[in-house]
Amino acid sequence: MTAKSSINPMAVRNLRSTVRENKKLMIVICILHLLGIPMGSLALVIQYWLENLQRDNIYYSTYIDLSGYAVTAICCLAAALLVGITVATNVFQELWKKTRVDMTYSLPMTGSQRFFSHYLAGVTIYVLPYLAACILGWIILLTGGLVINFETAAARQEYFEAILTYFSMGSAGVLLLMVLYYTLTVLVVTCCGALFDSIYTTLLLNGLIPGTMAAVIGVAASTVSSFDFAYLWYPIGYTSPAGGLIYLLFLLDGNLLYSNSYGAVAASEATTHGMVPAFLRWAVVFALVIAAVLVLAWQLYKRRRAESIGQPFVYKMIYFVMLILLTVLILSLTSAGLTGAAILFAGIVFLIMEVVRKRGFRKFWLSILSYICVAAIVIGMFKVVEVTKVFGTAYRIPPASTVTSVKVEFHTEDYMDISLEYTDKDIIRRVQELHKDIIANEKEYGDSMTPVNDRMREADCKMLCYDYDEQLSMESYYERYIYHLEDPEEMQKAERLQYDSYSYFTEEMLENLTYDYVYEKDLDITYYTASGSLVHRTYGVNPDQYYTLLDIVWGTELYAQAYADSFYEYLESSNTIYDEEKKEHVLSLYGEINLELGSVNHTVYFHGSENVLQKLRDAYYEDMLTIKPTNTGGMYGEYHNHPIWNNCTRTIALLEDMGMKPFNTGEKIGYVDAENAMAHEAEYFGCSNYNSNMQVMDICLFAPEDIVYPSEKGAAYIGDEALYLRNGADFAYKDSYTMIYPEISMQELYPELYDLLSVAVRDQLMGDCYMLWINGMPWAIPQEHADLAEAVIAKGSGYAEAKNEDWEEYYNELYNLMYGNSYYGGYYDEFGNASGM
Amino acid sequence: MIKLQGTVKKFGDFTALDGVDLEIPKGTAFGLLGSNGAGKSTILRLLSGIYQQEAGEVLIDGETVFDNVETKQKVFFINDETIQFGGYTLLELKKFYQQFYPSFSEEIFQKLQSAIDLPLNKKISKFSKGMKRQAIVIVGLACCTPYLLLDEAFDGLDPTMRIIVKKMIVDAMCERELTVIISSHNLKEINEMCDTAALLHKGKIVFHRELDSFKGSVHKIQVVFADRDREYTREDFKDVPEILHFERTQSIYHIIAKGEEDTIRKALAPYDPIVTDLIPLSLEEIFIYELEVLGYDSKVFN
Repeated sequence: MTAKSSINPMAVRNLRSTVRENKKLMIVICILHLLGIPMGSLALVIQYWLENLQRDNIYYSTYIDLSGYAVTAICCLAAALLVGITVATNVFQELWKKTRVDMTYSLPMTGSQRFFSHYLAGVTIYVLPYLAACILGWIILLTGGLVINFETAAARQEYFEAILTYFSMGSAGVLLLMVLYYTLTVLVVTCCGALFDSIYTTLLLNGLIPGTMAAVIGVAASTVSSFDFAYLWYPIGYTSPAGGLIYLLFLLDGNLLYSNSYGAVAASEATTHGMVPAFLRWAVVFALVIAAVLVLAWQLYKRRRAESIGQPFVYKMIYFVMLILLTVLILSLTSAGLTGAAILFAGIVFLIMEVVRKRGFRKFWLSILSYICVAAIVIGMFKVVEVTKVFGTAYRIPPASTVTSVKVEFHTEDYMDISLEYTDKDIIRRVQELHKDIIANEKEYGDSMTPVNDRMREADCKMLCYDYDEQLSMESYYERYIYHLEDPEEMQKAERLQYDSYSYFTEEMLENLTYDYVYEKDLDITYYTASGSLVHRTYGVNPDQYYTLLDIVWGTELYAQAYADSFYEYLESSNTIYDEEKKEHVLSLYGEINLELGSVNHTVYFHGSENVLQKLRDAYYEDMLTIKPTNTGGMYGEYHNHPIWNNCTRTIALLEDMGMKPFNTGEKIGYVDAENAMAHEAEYFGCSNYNSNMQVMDICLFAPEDIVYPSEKGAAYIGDEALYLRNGADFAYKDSYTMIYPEISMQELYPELYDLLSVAVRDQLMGDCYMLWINGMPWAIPQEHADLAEAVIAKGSGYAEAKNEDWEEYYNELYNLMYGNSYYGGYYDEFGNASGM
Repeated sequence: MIKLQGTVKKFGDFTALDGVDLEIPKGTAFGLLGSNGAGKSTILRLLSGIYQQEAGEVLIDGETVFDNVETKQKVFFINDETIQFGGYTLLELKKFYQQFYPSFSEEIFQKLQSAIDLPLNKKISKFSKGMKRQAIVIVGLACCTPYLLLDEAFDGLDPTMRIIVKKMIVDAMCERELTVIISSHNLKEINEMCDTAALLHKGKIVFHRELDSFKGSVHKIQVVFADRDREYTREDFKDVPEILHFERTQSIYHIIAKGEEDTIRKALAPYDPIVTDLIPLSLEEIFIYELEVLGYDSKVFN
């Protein structure tokens, strides 16, 4: 046998015997994994199966709560993952257990062979059961996909796609997290000479790596408010198991996206590059990090002397890294104004760590001196970051020649809030010019608000800035631009930007407000460069800059297309119904479009097909290509946050062809439309779709004197939100009646209310009307029925509770009460008008 | 052949071996003697590739040992502990070492195991201390390595078992030219088993000699001189080759001296001894007196 050929078998034999030695641990891990992914998958499949069974049979009432199994599965999986620390310490016993040193080191192997055979033995013990569990999970989920009676073929396909993408990426991602966690532990065990130090160092480092990074980023972000550091979060997702786990969750779980800066980064990754490429990129970088940690551990292992066992830290480097990370983490609290407490707390922790390392108070004065130096350096660095505005990066704009695309993201609730990535060179240039202007503004005014400048004044308006705190008592969510214009026409123009905010303020309030500063809106600019890097900044922009940006992006094909597509998606999603026969969602033949005109919902019914919606989409697209901030023509209406300006002529023409009537102040909203809307709703939902056997009605009755009408409108109109009905800071209401129904008919339970509901109309609310508010919906009681309203007021609060097995009966009764029964057996014509009743 | 040349091994500030030169020919039984912390175990660990020297060379058959798989396969090291094998049964322990030592002899293992009759499938942790030691010696011998290193390997063995284990080793030496290095405080065992021994003290070799040459080379002399009133000193006996120890109790002088019996008697004759009693020293006594010369003396405690 040659010398070389005997080397590898030795390592393989050592691997085998190490695995054999740890078979008990492996069995425990196997059990935990069996209770993890496979059980979770099984619970998921059963849940799906039951849900679909329930769908097929509306009277199927068996309900099995499987959440307990899911929680157990998650706990077991977590335990199986955390046990990686035990695996690493067990397979590398020669690094902390004195009695194992002679036995292990004297075996005929080189240091590298010993390291890799032990490392791979650990991977086998730790990862193999996980992979087996994943395969088992796959089998269960795929079998489930075949067994479950899905609602539609599309639903089945969606299920399989979800498994293919989420489960495969999730399981591969967790695998990488496990390997990094294990490798990091191996590195720590190699650097330590005792079990206690190995364990606490591993645990601390796993928290400190992402924690301290986040803290440092936080310090930098807090020093320059206009600079967004979200993209600096990248390293956190790549450098530690905990950071990687969070990144992975954000990447895969859409519900978590945008919940914070970190989520926004992962989400942005997923939306910009697509989930799979984003995942692959993360996986490749993560794998490289694992390789780097492994190489470091291997080199240190090779250099480590057998006799160094027993020392707390064989390589003191790891201790100092840990100590400094911990100190920096605690001292980062100084940026939150807790300087004294942070210095004291960090000092205590620092000295405790030193005592633990030295196993006593030997040369304690040296530890105190070290802490003073470290604290001074760390706080000094924080100061440098603050003074230099993160070393000048806050104001850096990449050269235009290197930028391949620019993404602008609005953080408003406005119509224009659509984030797109532009590749057009001219747009990139104009965005960069704006960027320079924003930076110049920030340099001049710092973090304070922008004063109203001449250009703004030239626009014949006064910018109003509302102090947020002062507004809390009135409108806690108010934080938008307010334009106070002397000219009523200009006021209307201002409203086009923020038309709905106007209605929150009375004329008198607006008259009394004069401000010299503007409140700023957040804007994200992201440059993607040819080298693949990106530069991401967040600024607060004033209305002037905001308008400039809108002028850049509005009218571009990309913007118009994105808006038109979004418009179409809403139209389509709100006009599909479930076809029982076909067992799938189909586009309704009788659709409706609820367009908000002013504050009133106007419903347009249409008879047709997808083609109608497509036409609307195309018209809207053509209109949006021509619209600029300066030529909107004012607001016509709104459809799910999609503005329909008066200059959207093609769209408006189509809508008016379909029966849409423009809303004018003072005009009465048609009774028929309102009735049809509700009737359609009743038909649409159908009672059988409800699982609950209980219905709750919240009813408030407002007397005429309780209702305040804004003087400029002359009358209040009943809208879904009825925002005009405000009396000072509080809602005006007379009395409240909570009815939990039914079993007993309302007529029996509260005849006065029954009578009142019989005369309620969804109509214009005039000065002498009473108003009923039913489940958030306003209804008018005309003055001629004041006696009925007074009877209810006289009787006072009503409350009833009753159960009913057959609530459907009441549901119909309630609608009879409200709308009469004329819609039964009725049909709608192509414009939604009732006929054949 | 084993060769240590200018070998230095340090543990932090402590120098365990300070330029040790040592040669051990193949097929010999070599004893390592020395005080606690003298460096005996360090030499064995250097020879088995556990430690790496800071300076000098550690060679087996002309090859370095540390990180050298081929050389390490020639060496089997049995240290003074057995706890590390507790989790194994004898059968498992055999299988474990069998895979690392291609020269492992199943036949020898069976022969030795059946001779001692150790249980094969019982956890070694359940064995008595002596049984544990037997188990690892059996496995070590079955590995059939040319070099066997024993660090306090006979601890815990009862006298009968000691004889059996020693016989096993001696048989192996006879059968396959096994080189055995034994580190022990039990000088009697070294005396019985080894042909050569080295005495270490504070990381240095005090002497390195064949044991046979020890025999009769150091004597304990009890002598009474005719002139009882005279107080003799060490310096009075310059003709005695090397006095290791000199002490007077009333009129009797106790002298430990190196040299042949005749030479010593002749050297004492001019002082008119009335009674001269010469007894050759045991290895243990030589060990004690040699170290006493180096200042390693039990009297320190007094």
